[in-house]
Amino acid sequence: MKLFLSIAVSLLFFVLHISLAEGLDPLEIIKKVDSNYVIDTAKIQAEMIIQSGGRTLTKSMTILSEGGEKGLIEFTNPQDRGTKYLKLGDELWMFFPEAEDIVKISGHMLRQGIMGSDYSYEDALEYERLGELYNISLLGKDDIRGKNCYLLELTAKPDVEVAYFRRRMWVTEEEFVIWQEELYAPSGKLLKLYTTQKIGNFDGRFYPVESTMENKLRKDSRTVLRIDSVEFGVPIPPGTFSKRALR
Amino acid sequence: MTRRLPLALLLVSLFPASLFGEAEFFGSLENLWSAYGGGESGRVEWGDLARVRLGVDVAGGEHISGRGEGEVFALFGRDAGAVDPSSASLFEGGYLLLQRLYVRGRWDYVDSVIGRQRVAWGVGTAFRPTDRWNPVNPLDPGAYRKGVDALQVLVYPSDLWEVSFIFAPGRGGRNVRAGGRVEGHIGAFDMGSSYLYDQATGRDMLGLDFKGDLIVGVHGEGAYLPENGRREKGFLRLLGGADYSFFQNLFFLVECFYDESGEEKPERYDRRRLEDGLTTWLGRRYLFSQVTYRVDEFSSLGASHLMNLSDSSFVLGASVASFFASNVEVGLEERIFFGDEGSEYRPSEDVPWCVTTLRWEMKF
Repeated sequence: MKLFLSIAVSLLFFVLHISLAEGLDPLEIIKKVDSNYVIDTAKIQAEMIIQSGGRTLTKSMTILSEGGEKGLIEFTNPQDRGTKYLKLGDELWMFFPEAEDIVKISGHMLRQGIMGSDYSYEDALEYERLGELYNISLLGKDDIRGKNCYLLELTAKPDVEVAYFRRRMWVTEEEFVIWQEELYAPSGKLLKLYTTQKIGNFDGRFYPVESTMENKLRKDSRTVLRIDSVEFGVPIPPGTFSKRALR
Repeated sequence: MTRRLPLALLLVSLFPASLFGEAEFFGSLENLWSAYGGGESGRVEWGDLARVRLGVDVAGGEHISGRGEGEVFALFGRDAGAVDPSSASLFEGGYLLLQRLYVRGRWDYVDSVIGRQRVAWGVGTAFRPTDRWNPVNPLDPGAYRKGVDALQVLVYPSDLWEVSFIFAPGRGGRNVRAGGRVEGHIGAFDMGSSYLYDQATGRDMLGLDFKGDLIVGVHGEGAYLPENGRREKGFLRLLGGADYSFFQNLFFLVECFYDESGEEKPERYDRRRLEDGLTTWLGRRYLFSQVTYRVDEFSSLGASHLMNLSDSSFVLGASVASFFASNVEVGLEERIFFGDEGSEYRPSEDVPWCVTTLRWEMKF
């Protein structure tokens, strides 16, 4: 009897939980996430720590971003010093400092990891277009790693080419930050796991300042992205997002 | 004295530069140890190349910047063949090579660059028919390329379009090379067209190139060098290539190259042009392919195949590279040369037919 009662209460709580969550429009949640993530302009100093099998590679970089559509990344660590990426919409160019050569990154190469990390070029390009590329549904609420989160499921729209067929995304209730995300292949296989470890508050805008991408196809492989400093709304001179700026 | 001049220039550029504006120093230590097998003696010979590369980027305010970059290197044993000593100055038993020394001025839509600089024309990996400035060596496509002493003016009418004019006086003001290039972006393609006049050969060159996406990545180049004033026949050079990534870590590249001025028969090869650095190939038709597999975040495996289709000689390469720290990379490469005697990649029985190279590099 006690067991039955316990199950009934749990079920009731579950149904209530779902219905409360279902009251929200999943696109509204994504919009609130966007209000944190989509920025007019920003200058970010960050470190990418690539870990695999007990070994670590550290790369440092400066990122300039405008409206999510335009980005310029310059690596500053000795090994990759002067290597730059230019992102304009869906296209990427890379500057190799030793060859002093600018190379357009081909579409298929976007699957590869940026500078050997677990973040692919596609990861960087696709985020701004989630609403266009995926059907989004709200599965409910979930308490995960100490945070109350909305659990969203994103499934690729028919005839749309995407990096991941399905995404399960945990968005924090309080800050509207992506706290965890699972990225799946069409076969249902988990390809990558993204987690946020630290959230920063920048005058009311919440932004992940430490996050990790784990490649589930490789054993013990992860990349930590740590933001050392971020300035939102910085003035960016005209011509910053151009091939000229790569040289 | 002239041999010491590059050293003096390098010292002038590298060290006092930090006193003016912002200066950022960088450099690397590198060692290549090579073993050569199957040569005349029948024994394994060895060679070693050790080098220190130093450079500085200087920013002197909003409009002016500059770069100085040079290396000191020493060769031991058999010439490791990874550098071109003819362009280096002898320095205390080693060599000094001035790679870059230029000043860049930036204005609203115009840059000007004067000094020794890298000029990158074309899109090919193993062959670049339109790049008459820093030709690629198909045997070592990734090698660090020499700079050109030139004045270049670059105009930027928009974010993705660029027009450049270049003038290179050559030694003693002779052997002038001058030209221009327009490059831009149309649809999903980067496109470029170029023109060059070379006083030494008396030839013009008209070039076109593109790189973009169809189902796979595609790129191509064409260069036409018309008949010159010396009644030397005009010729065409063409390159076509494709690349594709399977999964996230397997990259495949193939290139086909045709040079109308190349020879079909090995007995007609002019090897002196190769030795003098006037060309980096001899035949008419080539096929290059390359596969790279990224094992994990730290290590990669590579294999390559370069074939002279005119004489059927070819080179097989295999390599493994790994990072031992964030700035230390170690690599092992094996190259094996095949062909009939007299062919491009097997010129005689006396020449080694296999080379093993162990390389490490630390950047700082």
